[in-house]
Amino acid sequence: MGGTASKVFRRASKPAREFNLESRVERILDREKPTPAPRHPGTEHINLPDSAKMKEDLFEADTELLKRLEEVYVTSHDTWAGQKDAVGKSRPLPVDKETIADKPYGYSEPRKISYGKTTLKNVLTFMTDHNQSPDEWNSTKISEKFKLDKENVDHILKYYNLFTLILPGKHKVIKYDAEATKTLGAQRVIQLPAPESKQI
Amino acid sequence: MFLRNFNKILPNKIFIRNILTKDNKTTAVFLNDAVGAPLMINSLNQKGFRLNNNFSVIGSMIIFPRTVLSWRVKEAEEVNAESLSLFTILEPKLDVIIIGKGDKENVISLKTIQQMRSKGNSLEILPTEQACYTYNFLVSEGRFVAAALLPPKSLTISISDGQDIDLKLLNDVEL
Repeated sequence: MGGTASKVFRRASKPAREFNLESRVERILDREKPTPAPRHPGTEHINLPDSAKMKEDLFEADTELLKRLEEVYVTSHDTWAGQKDAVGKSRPLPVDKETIADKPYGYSEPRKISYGKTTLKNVLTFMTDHNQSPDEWNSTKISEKFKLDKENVDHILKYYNLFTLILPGKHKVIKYDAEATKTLGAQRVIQLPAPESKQI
Repeated sequence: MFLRNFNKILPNKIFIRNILTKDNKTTAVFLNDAVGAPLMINSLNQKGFRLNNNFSVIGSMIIFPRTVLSWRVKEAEEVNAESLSLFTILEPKLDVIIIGKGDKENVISLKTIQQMRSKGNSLEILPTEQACYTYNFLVSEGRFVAAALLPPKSLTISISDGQDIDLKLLNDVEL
């Protein structure tokens, strides 16, 4: 209730407070040197430094301080040099800086192959073996060697095979990467003889 | 319309790299032609596929990032768990197996999909053309993917394909 009353009073008295405000402010600002605000009674006895002298001191070099600085000399003792060898023996930095080899078959070789599974490289191997000697490398022997289900091996040998790479005669040069053909899975490479005349 | 000697040429993904050289030039590289690129499919027709190493593959094929195998499957009906058995024994497991079922209207049975899924292999079954796009895209990202592709019996011909037809071949067109 009291708050509201004072608010109402301040509202009502505002015109009286602001009467002739601008001219009063101007009058104070026009004075050459405004009178400083009175100091707190608690700090009245403290002598404030002369501001003009402070400015001069800032721009002058203090000879005494400079003399002290000359006496300072920093030395360092390399204690790490000994430690480095001791640590380096137990934990040597890597020496091998070779880049990681490209994955030849497009996948990184697994360290462990679980039972009943094999890598693509092995699949190509047993397909090549089977094509060369089907009787010796039958599905039973393959499944035993690569730890695969015989049924799976039978299906793979039935439905999948390796390609035969046929290279055209020499007049038509085909650019291909010889390294890449090793992983391609082409079992036989047949080089056709060069035709005597170019046919259209 | 049947175009003899017509190859459906697949759009080549362009990889643009900005290298700060003396001239400060930007170079664009076709991903299919990049040095050390994995095997990708450049074009296809009713008989087979042409790869980015200039080899033509006749018939159905299984394509891995560095290996091609022939696949003794001619029709989409023959695609079943037995003819896809190679994918189930591979270690490391393939990220995705893409199956190009040939033409759009071919159907691969739900049983096959369920059988493969139960073995933990995810199949992506698409018409062969789209399967080739998808395979090229995935393999260019360095994933271990494989595509089992049947050559399509019909090819879609778009307006942009006309630019690829060699003018000499137009004499062979049978309408």
